[in-house]
Amino acid sequence: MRLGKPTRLGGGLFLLVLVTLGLILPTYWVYLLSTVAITAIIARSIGLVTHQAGIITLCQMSFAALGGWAVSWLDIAWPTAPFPMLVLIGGVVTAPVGLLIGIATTRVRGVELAVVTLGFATALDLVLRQGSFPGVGEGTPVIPSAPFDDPRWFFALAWALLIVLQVGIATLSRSVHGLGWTAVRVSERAAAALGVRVGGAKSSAFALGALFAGIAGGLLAGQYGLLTTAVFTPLTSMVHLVTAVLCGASIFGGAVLAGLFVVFIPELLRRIGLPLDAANTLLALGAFDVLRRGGGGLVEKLNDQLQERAFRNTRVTCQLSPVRDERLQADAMQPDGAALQGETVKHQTLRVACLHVDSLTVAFGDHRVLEAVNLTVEHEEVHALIGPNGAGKSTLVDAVTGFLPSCEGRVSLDGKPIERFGPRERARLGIRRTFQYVHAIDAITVENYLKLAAGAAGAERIPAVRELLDLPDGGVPIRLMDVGSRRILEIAGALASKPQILLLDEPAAGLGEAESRALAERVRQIPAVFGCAVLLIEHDMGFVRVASTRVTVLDDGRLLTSGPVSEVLDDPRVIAAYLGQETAS
Amino acid sequence: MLDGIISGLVSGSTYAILAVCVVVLYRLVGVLNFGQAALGALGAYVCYALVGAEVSLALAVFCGLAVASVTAGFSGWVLARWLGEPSAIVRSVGTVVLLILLLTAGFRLFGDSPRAMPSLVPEAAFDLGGVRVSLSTVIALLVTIAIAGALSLLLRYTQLGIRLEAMSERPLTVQLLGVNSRQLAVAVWAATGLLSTLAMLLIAPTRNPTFESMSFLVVPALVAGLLGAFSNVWIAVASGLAIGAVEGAGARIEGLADYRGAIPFAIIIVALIWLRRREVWDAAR
Repeated sequence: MRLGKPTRLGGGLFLLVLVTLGLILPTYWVYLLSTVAITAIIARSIGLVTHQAGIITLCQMSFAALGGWAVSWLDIAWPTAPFPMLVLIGGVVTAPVGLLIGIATTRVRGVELAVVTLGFATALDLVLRQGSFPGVGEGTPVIPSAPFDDPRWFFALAWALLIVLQVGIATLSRSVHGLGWTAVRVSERAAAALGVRVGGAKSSAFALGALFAGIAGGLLAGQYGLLTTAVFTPLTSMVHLVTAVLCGASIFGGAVLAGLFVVFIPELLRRIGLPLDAANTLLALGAFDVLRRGGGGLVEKLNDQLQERAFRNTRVTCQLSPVRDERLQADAMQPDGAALQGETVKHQTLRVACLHVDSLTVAFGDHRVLEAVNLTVEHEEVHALIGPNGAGKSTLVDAVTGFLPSCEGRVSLDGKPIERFGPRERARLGIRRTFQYVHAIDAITVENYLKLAAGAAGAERIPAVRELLDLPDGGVPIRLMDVGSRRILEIAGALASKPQILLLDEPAAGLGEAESRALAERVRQIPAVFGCAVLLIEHDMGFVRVASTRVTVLDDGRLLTSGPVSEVLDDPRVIAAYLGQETAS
Repeated sequence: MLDGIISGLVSGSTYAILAVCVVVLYRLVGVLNFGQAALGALGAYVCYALVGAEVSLALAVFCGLAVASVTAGFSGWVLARWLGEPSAIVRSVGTVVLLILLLTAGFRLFGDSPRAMPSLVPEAAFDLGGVRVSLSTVIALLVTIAIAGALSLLLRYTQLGIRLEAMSERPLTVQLLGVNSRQLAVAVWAATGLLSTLAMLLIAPTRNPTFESMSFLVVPALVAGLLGAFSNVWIAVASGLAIGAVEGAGARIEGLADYRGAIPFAIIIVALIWLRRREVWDAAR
């Protein structure tokens, strides 16, 4: 990413201050500041696992203990090795442990996962208490190899590692994989619908978090010489968690602030003669206050405010205007459209429908939500699916996109059966959907959302999508957008992934009359511009008339009728179903 | 081995009662309480401090139960007052805060050295098919089953139970119907504080734990609750007892005895891989 001028300036100043402090401060303070860097690495690992991936971790200090153990052991077994290398090895051997926990708990989420991490922390604490760290029994401390036995060099090493790790994680967070963490935190369902590997994202967050904490633990071994289990108890993991929450450790500044708090609050208490454990109380109460206010930790909130100010004069909504019809038609003849015509010919020779649903039956307990429903969506049509509330429309979308654990019947895409695939595979095959409740990830920018949704395949389509749906500037954070615009952004993301078929679940909900009509026109153009079919669920019949060519009507889980829009919408049975009459006479 | 299993049932009962508290609180109030055992530890330690100051056992127990209930009720009020709206995850971090505060306070008040704890149950034991069964094991089991049974009946058949279930399903709707959900939440919290203290008084004489080690008895309880997906009281009870029994058996095995505290983690990992072998998706569309 290009660094903005203020960022570069701030970074330069920060480095200058660090170097100056490292050179002029007395050794004691240099030592304390090294601990700040180490603690900041731990805080940043919590920022990754908890703030970014949404997993409450109560075992980060246990990972640190593993790194510390490894470095203590290596220092004895391999005394000639340079200390930084030992520290890195400590991190690298810890990462697989995190990965294993992540893989074992792929299907566990939320507070349940917190219980697993606490279980790990207490179990490891117990195992460590049985033995002790290598070298402790014999009284041989870890002595970092020269020049890192000098506190000032150690200081340089600790801060350099923190900065390198931060740059690495910040870069990764902007990649498709890293954006997946945020997607998983917001909603695993929506993440899978975007083609994100949910288990993979959680495991990699755990593994990287363990890597960070392991490195921090290795540094601690070098700093303390002899490690004790008291440094790595479940309680210290908890204190680090609440401090990360308090400061907002998903941001570099927040992690550094967490380090400063953990190191200097007890130092201050000591100097004014108060008991040191009051620090835990202060940090815990501070975290509670942050939770009570909502909106993230101290530095995260500051960052949000700066962002809001930066985008004060920028358009943050999708402004769909109904005037650009002809130009879009012309766009359809551009390269994208040409490629599409080739595809059309291919499909005509194959003569298969885009999406074919055959006698789909879904039952929740005794209640049949869908009963033997057939539905065919041809290539390049907008097919509306309507019916009263509770008719089973969204259930059908869930079944087609692979979110239902069990359903009978056949679903095929382009003639190829897809029942055995999960939601992510189906998304990768080209079935994309939007949700009734907006799941656009509010913590990231428009540009990053499109990148995540498009995946590797669709980057070149993003400009066309932006133009069709009048998206705001790519740097705009999604949290500044209104609900209607987020809904349109979700459609944009789905389109950017070059889907075969797009399933829109009530796209016009939350839009005003004029916007809704403008969106209907855009949806009508989707097949021509992007060469993909659309299955549209919508209650607004005006929207359906404008956008779609054919309609299927569901009533109480059964197929009522299907056909061209004008015929079906004037069918007395359809009117009756909507008005709730017994029969229409 | 069988001796070990039987003697482990006392710990198992404590885990089971704590697990019931955790499950009930999660189901009704939507809070996963990491501080559950610490609340019980507070009550138990108040009781032992008073016994140490020559107060009669009955009065000391009463005071312990009262302190734990009031503290739990107050914690519940604070969480409902300030963290009522946010997600279950945020509320659970709130209980991590509670645990840190209780641990700090406990360390201040009671220190970190274990102390001798008088048993509420007279020392007695009898033979059952060649296995030595102590009276405290029997009492612990009976108390556990009585608590779980009474709670199930309460939730299913009384007006209060129906209100509580409704509150957990649709808190806002229930509030609009004129039920004071915050009061109910506080009451549930206070009740779990009381029961947790009871659980601690059962286990304490067999282990003489420190305040901190008592507080971390929440881990086997949470594991037991998780096996019942934090919704089924009886699975939680059975799991709690089973964890106690396995630990008891482990205590008799050479080489494993020192590590038996790690058993809950092993159980949870294996159980979760098996229980969650099928894909289930999170919340609403």
